[in-house]
Amino acid sequence: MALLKLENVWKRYGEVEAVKNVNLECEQGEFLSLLGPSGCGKTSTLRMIAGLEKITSGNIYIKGQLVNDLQPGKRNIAMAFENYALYPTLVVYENIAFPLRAKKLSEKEIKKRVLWVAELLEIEDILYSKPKGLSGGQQQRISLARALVKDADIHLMDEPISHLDADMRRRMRRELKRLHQTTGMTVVYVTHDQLEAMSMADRIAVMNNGVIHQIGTPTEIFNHPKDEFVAGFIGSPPINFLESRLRVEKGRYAIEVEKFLYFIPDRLGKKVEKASDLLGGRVRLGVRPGDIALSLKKVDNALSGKVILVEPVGESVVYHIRLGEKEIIAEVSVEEDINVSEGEGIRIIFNPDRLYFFHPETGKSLHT
Amino acid sequence: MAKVVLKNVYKSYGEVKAIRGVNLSCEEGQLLALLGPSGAGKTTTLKLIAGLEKCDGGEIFLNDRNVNEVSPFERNVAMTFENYALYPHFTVFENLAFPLRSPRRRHIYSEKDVRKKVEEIATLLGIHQLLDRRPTQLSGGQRQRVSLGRMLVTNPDVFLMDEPIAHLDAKLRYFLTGEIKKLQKRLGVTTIYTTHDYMEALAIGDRVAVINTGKVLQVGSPDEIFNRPNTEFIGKLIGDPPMNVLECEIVKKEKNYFLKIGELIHPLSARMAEKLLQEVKDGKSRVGIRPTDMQVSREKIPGYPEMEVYVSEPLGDKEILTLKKGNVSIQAKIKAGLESKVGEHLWVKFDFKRLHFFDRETGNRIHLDVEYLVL
Repeated sequence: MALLKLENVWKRYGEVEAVKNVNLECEQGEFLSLLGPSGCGKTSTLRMIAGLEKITSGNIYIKGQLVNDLQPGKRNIAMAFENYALYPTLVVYENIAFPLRAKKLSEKEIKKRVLWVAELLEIEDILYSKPKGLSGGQQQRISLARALVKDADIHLMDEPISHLDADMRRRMRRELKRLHQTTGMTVVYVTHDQLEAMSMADRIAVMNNGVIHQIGTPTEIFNHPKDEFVAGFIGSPPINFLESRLRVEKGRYAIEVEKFLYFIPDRLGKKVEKASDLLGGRVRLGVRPGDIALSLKKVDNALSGKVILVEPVGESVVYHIRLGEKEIIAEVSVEEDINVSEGEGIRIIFNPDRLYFFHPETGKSLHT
Repeated sequence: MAKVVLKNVYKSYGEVKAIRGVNLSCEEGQLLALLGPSGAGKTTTLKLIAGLEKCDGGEIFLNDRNVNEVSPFERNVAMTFENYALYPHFTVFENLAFPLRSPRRRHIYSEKDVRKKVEEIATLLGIHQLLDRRPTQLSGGQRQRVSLGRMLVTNPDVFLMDEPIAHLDAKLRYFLTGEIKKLQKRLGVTTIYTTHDYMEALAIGDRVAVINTGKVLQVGSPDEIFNRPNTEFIGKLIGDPPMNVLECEIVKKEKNYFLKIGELIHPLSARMAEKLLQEVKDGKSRVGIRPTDMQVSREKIPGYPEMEVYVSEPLGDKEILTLKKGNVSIQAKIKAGLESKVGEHLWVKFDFKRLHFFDRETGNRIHLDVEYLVL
């Protein structure tokens, strides 16, 4: 049985349904991320796991025990929040030591743990300062440190590194992941930042409007999005969506996009065909910027467009391309770049193995 | 349209020296991106150009005219601030009309002129259907257009944009910088744009000026800034993850040269090693390696070093590896698919042609000008 299990969990605040029938399991030692935009219900879900919010209906189990009515203090969890909730009168050392003193550990053990976590989170130099006057990023790391020193069945974290600057956030991401992998702690991690979820989590639950859209490994989520929301939320630059029509042309499957005809692999065409029949052929095509190649020469099975903007971003080049009435984004690595200028006509080639098709109304994938 | 030139400009606030001898020029119709961390002096530079602050020393020219003593109004520049700063209680129309109804302009524009001008700008930006809405009812992209429109209504010669899209959803960035750049090209208005985000600066700037502690460190095309950073600071400011910069030493064993980075020993071409030794007598410097400029392999690469995976982060189509050897830690960014595990050993081979060297004391780039490097 999973260490943590949510069964048909709902949360209503008056009329507002914040969490709608969430089912979720987290195994011992797993790093599970709840990912979604603000207001998607991820924080409410985490707070219900912590016991800080009452469940409207459904069940939550920790280690097989129903905890719906168990106080937060009795759930054996550790928490780090976006807003730090530090004790203003205590120095940083004492703030971090606080949960350990409550557990009546020896001074020696407390010191060992505090120094260990202070080094990990790079706050050794402020251990004897009071929280007031420290930067938001420092305060957030103290809050995270306090959660990490505690032995707990589950570590719950709500945007724990959101207030750090980019460089520190990168370092903390690394250290948190390493810590998880070397200690086997169980983590439920809430974030709106796809990079954080992708880089650290074993599995990601993508949420929107109180509903889980997909649960899977980072690779699954990126390569096999179940719907348009997931496809659009993950990936930077974001995926391009194009209205298209599936047809059979000379015995081969093709899609009509912005008045161009583009042949697609049979295997994919077959999968999409059945669903698209009901839609009169209408399907929404999704193609990631990194799965588009550009060519100045004439190529078979390519679309034609015009480059309207070139953005050299260092290791890659981002092209904004006019394709019929639409504008799409392509990202080409520097080694593969062909140096096209603004205003030039260009041939566009989609990677045939990495095309996505979605239902134009429901947004559901037509082939996963 | 105007050319903007700053000559040896200084500005202090009390004890704090915000701008320390800035020389900068932005050609007519060009978009110059000012890139630097917070506190670098970017906003102060814009305020000096706008005339919202007076410089303590140096000269500012707009179209070859010294404007040090010219009022902000008469400089005819328009400035936007971080996150648009729209008036929340005004409609889009009122926000756009605001600069035209200011005390300085009120006598120039009748209410009829104001309506005409606002509608013209709103049509240009494709926001005419939003004129009755309030900013809170707009998307991020629409808000940006209103903010741009408010700059445009006065027909300025120069646009000054201070972190216009900071703190917005990263995904919107691609569309918003694109919109700004397209509009700027279409109108051909000279524009200076500040940001702390290197991607934004490279993406949007015709040229990029890197600024820190009140000084301009390098001005160049996005390509130059990325491929030939003048200093270690610039190297590390750009890239995600940033450039690895490590203490190194050239060592010679028998006839072969090696780059020694702590416990990491990596072959180095004789031409590069000898060039470097001409520049740095003791062979000690700091090497810069971009995470993308290396090959990482599970198969042994004979003669090349082996490193241990400290942590690996998948990012969809890419994977970031943190690799260690002794006290040396480097980051590599590779195509997805390796799926390495913590503790695993991998072989690493740097792309020679793309190594950067910096002086240990000054942090300045050591120019090697080696074109063909053969191992």
